[in-house]
Amino acid sequence: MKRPNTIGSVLPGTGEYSFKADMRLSFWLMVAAATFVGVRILMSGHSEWNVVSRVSLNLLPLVPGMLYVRNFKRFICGLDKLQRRVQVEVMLYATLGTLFIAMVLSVLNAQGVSTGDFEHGLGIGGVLISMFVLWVLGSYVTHRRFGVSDEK
Amino acid sequence: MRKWSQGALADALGVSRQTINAIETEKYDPSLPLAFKIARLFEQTIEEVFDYIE
Repeated sequence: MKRPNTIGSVLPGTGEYSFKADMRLSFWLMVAAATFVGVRILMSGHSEWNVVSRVSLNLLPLVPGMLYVRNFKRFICGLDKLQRRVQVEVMLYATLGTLFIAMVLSVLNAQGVSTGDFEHGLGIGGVLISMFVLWVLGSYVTHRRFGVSDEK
Repeated sequence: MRKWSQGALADALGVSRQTINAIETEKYDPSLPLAFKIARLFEQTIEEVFDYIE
């Protein structure tokens, strides 16, 4: 019987962790990150390049990013029903939580309340951090609810 | 009677060990196909393996 994917297989520190499974999922994410950094370094000394070149280079990390999304979708589809349900719930929690935080920041900024580094909104970095933190919290709560983290 | 570990049972049924644990602790109801697989693996009927409490 084909074994389903498990979240533990891609989370370092868990008993089920598999470097091969992690690489199968995350390879294109790392390529996207490396491309992003590479483009930033390349662009820093060439602000005189024309708009088409600059936009094309800046959009380049999206290509491996899309391949990562494809791998991520395949990984989620390979989970068994309970794990998929847990992940869908957690991702919904992380997305709605981030939306809520962004809306609160927007209201505070509109009212002139100082929000420090977030005076222009959450930004890409803030969205990613917020979603990750809420994903970790949501995973903890949901796994406890279903008792799926109990080792036996 | 064979004593199944959660891991061995999960492998035989094609689900994660966590799913077996969640079913055992009554925190998750298996799908109908999975319930059939479990019953067939133990050579019993679904009613013999699972109770439905409203």
